[in-house]
Amino acid sequence: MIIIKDLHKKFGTNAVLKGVSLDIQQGQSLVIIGGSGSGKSVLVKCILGLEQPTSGSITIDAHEMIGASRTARHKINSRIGMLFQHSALFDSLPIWQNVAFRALQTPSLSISDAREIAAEHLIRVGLETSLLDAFPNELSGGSAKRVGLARAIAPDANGTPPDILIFDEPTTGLDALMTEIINDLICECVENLHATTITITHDMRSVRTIADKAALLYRGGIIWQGEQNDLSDVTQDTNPYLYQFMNGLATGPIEVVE
Amino acid sequence: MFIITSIGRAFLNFAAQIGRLFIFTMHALYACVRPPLYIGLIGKQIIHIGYYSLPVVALTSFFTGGALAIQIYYGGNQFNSESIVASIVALGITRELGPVLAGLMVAGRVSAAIAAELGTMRVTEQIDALTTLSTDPMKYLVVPRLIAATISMPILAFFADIIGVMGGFVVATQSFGFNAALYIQRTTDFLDFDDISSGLIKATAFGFIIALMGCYNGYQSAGGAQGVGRATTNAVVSASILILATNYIMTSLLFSS
Repeated sequence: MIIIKDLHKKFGTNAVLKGVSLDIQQGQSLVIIGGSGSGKSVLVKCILGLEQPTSGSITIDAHEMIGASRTARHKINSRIGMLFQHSALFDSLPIWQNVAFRALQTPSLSISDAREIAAEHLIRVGLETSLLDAFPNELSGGSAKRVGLARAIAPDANGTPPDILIFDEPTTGLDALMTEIINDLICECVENLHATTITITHDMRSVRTIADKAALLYRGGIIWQGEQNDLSDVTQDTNPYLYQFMNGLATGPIEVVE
Repeated sequence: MFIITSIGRAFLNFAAQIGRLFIFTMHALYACVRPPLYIGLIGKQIIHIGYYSLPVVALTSFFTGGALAIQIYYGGNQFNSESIVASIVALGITRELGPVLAGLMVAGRVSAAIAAELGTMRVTEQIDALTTLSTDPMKYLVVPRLIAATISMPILAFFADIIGVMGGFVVATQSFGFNAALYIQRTTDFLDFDDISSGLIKATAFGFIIALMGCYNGYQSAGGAQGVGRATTNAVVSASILILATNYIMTSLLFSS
C-alpha cells in the first residue's frame, strides 16, 4: 500500500507540488491525469526517490521513504518496476541485457539464464526473440516501449518480479493502434503480477483501459480523485475541470501552463 | 552597483560549483571503496580509455620527441653542445612532456567522451532508470571510469616516454648523424629512476582528473542536446586546466624536495 500525505516540492521559489495526498491500495491501479507542467513526473520522481520532496510523507507498506537510508531505498526500489516516458533503454547494452538488467546485478547468474529471462519477457510483451541481440537504436518507438515494459516487469535473479509498477506516460508518441496494444499489455502484466500500479498519463483512453482509480493533478494539487466508474458521471456542472480535461476542451477553468 | 552584483553572483556561482565538485568527488571516492566493484566494467573502460588512446598518445609523443631534438640540436649548436640532445630529450620527455602531453591528449579524447556519454544518459533518463533498477549510478558509471583512467594514464605516460625518446633518437640519428649506440648510452646515463617515476606519479593524478571532470560534467548536465554539448566542452577545458595546474604543483613538490 502506498500512502502519500501532503507532499510539497519546490524548485527554488517555484512550487511544483502543493500538498498532494493520495493512497493506493495493494493491487490497485491508480492513473494520475493532468496536463503538461502539472507536476505528474515530479510526483513520480519523488516516489522513486529521484527527487527529494520539500515536505510531506510517502510510505510504502508502512516504510517511510522520505529521508530513508540508502539500504531501505535500495530494498524498496528492488520491488519497483518503472517504464519511462521515452523508455530510457540503456543504449550501450543489447536488448537482452536491458531486459534482464535487474537479474544481471547478481553476479552468480549465468548468461544463458539471463538470456532466458530476457527471451521469456520479450515474448510476454509480444516481441520476437530475434531482437535479443539488437540494440535500442535499432527499435521503433512502439518496440522500445515494449522492451521498456519487459524490463519493468522482469524479475531479479531469484525470480521475484516487482510488485509495484510505475508507468510514466506509457503511450506518449505512439499511434492509436500501438496505444491500445501497450494499454492492453499493461493491463495484462498488472493482472498477472497482482502489482500495485501508478500510471501517469494525459490520454483518456489509457485511463479507461488501465485505471481502477483516477486522480486529476492540476497546478501541483489533486483537484479530483475517484473510481474509474465515476468518470462517466462527470458533467460540466459537477466537475468543470475534469470535464474540460476529459473532453480536451480548449476553453474552461484549466489554464494551459506555457 | 550592477558591476558589484555581477561580480558577487559570479563568485557565488564559482563557490557553488567548487562545492558541488567537492561533494561529487567525495561520493565517488566513497563509492570506490564500497562493494560491489564492477570488475568487468573497469576492464572494459581500461580498453576504451587506455588501449584506444595509445595511437594518439604515441603519435603525439613521437613528433614531440623529434621536434624537441631539433630544437635542442640547433640551440646547443650555438654553444657547441650538440651532445646534450640525448639527455635533454630524455629528461624533458620523461619528466614533463610525456605525462603532460599524454594527459592533454587523453583529456581531449576521453574526458569529452565520458561527459557526452553520461550527459546523454542523464538527459534521456538512463541514469534515473539505473536507480530504479536498484543500481547505484555512481558505482556503475563513475567508479569504473575513475579507476580505469587512474590505472591507464601512467601506463600511457610510460609508452609516451619510450616513444617520445624514440622520436628524438630517430631525428638525431637520421637527420643529424648522431651515432645510435652513443645516443642510447647518453640517454641511459642521464636518466634516473626518479625522472621516470615522477612523470608516472603525475600521470596517475592526471588520469583521476580526466575521468573526474568527464564524469562530473556529464553527470550534472541538463537541458537536452545543448546541455550535453556544454558539459563536453566544460569537461575538456576544466580537465586541461586542472592538468596543467596540477602539473605545476606536483613538479614543485616533487623536485623541490
